[in-house]
Amino acid sequence: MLSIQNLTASVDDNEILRGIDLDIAPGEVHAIMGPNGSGKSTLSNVLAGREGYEVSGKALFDGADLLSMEPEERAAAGLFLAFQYPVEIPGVGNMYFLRTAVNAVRAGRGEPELSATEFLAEAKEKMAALDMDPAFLSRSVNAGFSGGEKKRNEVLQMSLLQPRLAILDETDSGLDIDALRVVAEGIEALRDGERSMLLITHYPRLLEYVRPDTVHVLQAGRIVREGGPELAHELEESGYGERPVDDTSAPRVSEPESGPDDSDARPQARSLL
Amino acid sequence: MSSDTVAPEVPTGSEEGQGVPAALEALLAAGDRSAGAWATEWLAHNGLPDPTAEMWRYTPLDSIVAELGRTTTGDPTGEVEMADLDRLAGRHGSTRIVFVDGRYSSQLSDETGRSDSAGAGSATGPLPPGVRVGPLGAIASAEGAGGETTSDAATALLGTWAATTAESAGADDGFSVLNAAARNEAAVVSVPAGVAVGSPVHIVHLRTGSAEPSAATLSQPATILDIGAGASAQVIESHVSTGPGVTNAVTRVRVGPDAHLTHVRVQDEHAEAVHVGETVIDLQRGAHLESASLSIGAQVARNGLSVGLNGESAVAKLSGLSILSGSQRHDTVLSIDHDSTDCRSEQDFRSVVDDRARSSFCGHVRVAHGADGTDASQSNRNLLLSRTAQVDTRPWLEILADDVKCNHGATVGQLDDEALFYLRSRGVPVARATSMLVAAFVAEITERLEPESLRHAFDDAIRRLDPDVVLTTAAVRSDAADTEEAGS
Repeated sequence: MLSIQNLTASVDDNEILRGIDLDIAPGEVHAIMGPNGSGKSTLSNVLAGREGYEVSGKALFDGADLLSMEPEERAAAGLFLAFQYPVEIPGVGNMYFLRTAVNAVRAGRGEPELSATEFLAEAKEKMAALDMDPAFLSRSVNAGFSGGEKKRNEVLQMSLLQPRLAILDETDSGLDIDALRVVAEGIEALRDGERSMLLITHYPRLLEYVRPDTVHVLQAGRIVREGGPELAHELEESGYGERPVDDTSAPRVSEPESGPDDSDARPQARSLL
Repeated sequence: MSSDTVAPEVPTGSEEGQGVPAALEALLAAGDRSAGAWATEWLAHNGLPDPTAEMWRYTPLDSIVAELGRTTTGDPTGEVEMADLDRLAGRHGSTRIVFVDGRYSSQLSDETGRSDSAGAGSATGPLPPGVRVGPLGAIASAEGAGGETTSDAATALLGTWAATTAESAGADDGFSVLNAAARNEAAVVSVPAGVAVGSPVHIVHLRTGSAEPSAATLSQPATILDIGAGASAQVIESHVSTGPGVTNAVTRVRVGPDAHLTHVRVQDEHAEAVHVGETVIDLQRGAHLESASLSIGAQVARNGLSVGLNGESAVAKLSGLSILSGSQRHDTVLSIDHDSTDCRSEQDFRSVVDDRARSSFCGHVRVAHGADGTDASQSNRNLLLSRTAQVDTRPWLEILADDVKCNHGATVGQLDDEALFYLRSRGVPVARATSMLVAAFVAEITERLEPESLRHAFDDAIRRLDPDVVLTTAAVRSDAADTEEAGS
């Protein structure tokens, strides 16, 4: 379903991804783990089409060249990124946003649009499964949501959009143990043998609920280890350690200072709204 | 200061100034000099505002003067069909009165149920007894308070505040005096003490184009709003036109003690028009004003708004929105005077600027000596949709009292890249995502507007920015009511 070959990405001459190879078959769940600054969020951003990276290499999604597609085209093709930091959009109602997104993706698949009534019935059912108050529909997108509420809103979008490949960028971070269980169950419920997932996480606890087929360890922009689910436990015991980077002449990627991971190793966007 | 840094003296005041442009001389010569003898004399002496004056620095006075010159050659047709009126100005509220080229049109106006000379209010009109809505002359003569000129009638009927006078005109008030020099009928809404006018009154000032399409016309409408003590009203004032030319509008407002006024001013003129508007508002003790200035049309537009908080505990909540594209130039110039204790003023002014358009904001807040307990806030936010769009923003706070809370903020920027990417990553095409964000920016101003019909004017304006995207601000908000509706 997804085939990544020698993918690199740089920002301002800082090479963040240094040649990623990754294949995900239909129905498979892969996990990418790694320390702060290893390039995990950059990988998800590049796959979803965020601007501001110099990218080379290949990423084929069902054989189509993902890297040449606009973000909305990737979404219509069935790619979904659950953001590590979902964006607050004051003034845009959550219900309007969700219905616009669902209908845009349905239009891309040649399916008829959902009416407001049809959409609302479906949204309410999926919100109940995620233990979300339907009142969230009448608020602005993510505005004033708690960290946990934002993550649930991401999983809600995933369940409404029914993507073929979901990339979940640290969807487990910032959740207490009860919220983690609800969110993880929401993710697990979308596992149907057809849909593929790429779970990006810093901690192995999500993987106890959503058991991956393969675990990859990302370090300094490269995948340095691969294994089965047991690798997650091993990392929990021993940590990532400091494995030597073979190309020591390459400039070391500077660690971001503000964020808990590498998500801000991308161009800073001005926020006005 | 060393001698070589001394700036040359710039002559200020009335003596020279801009002088009297040839265009103005022609206008004054063509007009009826007896209509406003003091005004023509004042103009001959003071002329139009000096382009270097603080409150006029961003306004393209040269284009305005050039257009004024063209108006001497174009006579307005004065012909308007009801359908055109509805299309241009809409219908907001239950009573609409219409002035065409500065003259009251009884054909186009609603029956106002005005009290007759015997004092018996029409039982069928939507307005409570005692409320006067209509042209100043008719109201004044019905009440035996006539006057030779508009200014005289306004002064006799309502007081000196209701007119531009030789005493009140400042050095830069040339356009207001020019308006006074025209012998036009003022639109009046006068609400007696204690009376609540339940539904909005809509005043339309329409300038007609010339029969000769290349010529420009001039209209100088006047509006007077008088809200008595403890009374309340909502007035919508629309300025529209059917051809190129100049509209030079003056609005005078008094909100009495503990009275409440909602005033919405809509400028949606012809695409080649020049619009100069000046609104002067006197707020008395405990008065409450909610004002919205909406600027969409015209090639060049200046919206001047001057608010005096002249009695303790008065409140002024001011908002404004300009939506510009092409090569439009819109200026918002505010002058807020805190002259009494414990008054509050809030400003929320925004612009959306596309193409090569240019928007400016100048917000002067003055807190007088002794105006303690003042609470003043100012926000000016500007959204640039193209690299060639331009915004000038100038907060100007002058605080002479000690116990004061003042804050201001201004932003000029582009759409939030993060928000745009988030929407696109969910499958929303970029054009639609853009207009969703613009609509959200605009909706924070327009959602406060009543009646709802007013909000649609903006949906149309947003659509003009991107004709491919049909979107309404109301839909983007998708508020609780929509959710309820969808659920039923």
